[in-house]
Amino acid sequence: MNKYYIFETTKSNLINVLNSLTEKEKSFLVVDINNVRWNNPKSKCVLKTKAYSDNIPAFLKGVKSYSQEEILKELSIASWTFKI
Amino acid sequence: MYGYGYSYNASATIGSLMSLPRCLYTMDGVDELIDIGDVAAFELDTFTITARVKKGAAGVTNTIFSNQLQAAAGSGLCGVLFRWLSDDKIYILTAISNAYESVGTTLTYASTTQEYHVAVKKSGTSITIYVDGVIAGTGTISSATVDYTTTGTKKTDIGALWNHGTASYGAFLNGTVRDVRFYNVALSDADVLLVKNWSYAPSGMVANWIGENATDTFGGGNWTVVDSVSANNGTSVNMEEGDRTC
Repeated sequence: MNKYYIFETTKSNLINVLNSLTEKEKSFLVVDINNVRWNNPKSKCVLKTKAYSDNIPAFLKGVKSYSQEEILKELSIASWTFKI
Repeated sequence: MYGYGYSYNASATIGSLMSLPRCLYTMDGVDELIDIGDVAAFELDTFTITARVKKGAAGVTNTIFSNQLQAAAGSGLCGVLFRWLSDDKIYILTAISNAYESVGTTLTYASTTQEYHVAVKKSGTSITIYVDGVIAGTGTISSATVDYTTTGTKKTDIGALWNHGTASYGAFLNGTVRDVRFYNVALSDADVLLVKNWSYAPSGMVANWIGENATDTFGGGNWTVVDSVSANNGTSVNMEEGDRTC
């Protein structure tokens, strides 16, 4: 099972944060920066991580994480979905 | 086991007794998909798409397969989208002259424990949707010519659709998927039933992902999802090694 985090940020800031991680910390993340899920307009994003690790990046510590079931409820609002 | 009387010298007999692995991918409905990319060879006006899919939740949109799709208004809507909607009916959206026309099933298919074999064929302006080898919906669209033109990028994907305007994927599948096939013909009713029963006899198959002949590999953090017919291989997005099980 994965953990999911919601961040309110910009893509450039997210890239800076992720680029500052160590290789071990990067291995905790499942998502690639190019495939991060954003809402529209792009202000919030979902970061997916592995469930357990000794290498949790500092910027994730203390941040609320969601289970798959919980994140799907959060994402069910219209701004996260396409209309067609 | 030797005790069952089979001989390893009787390769033909052994071969007929053994079945090839039937693997599947589990997708989370959040951000996972298999991206096949832009494949011009799939831009057909006559086709059949088939897949085996189990939903992880009812009452939500679940994309099964999107073919050469671009879903951003203003960038030239294009392609074909095969999916469940939140009413648990299965629909095909076909782009005709920069707008989508929809045909759906009559009944709902809401089970989260049953793997459905789903298929859709387009022949001229006629659309037929099958569930478990039986006709589940029919309809007509206004033109036989599918609109595959866009000013943006388009993609073929398993388990999601592509939106050029936001440069992102959406309508993710929450569930499992395997044995996705693309035919360049409109299969007969009998042939769809054959495919449902795992037959590879019907002709016209131009792509098969996650089927019996799959040789997928994991590397660099992603699965290479092999198209065993034409090598239009897909790449998993945001998935882990454990998301493929056999």
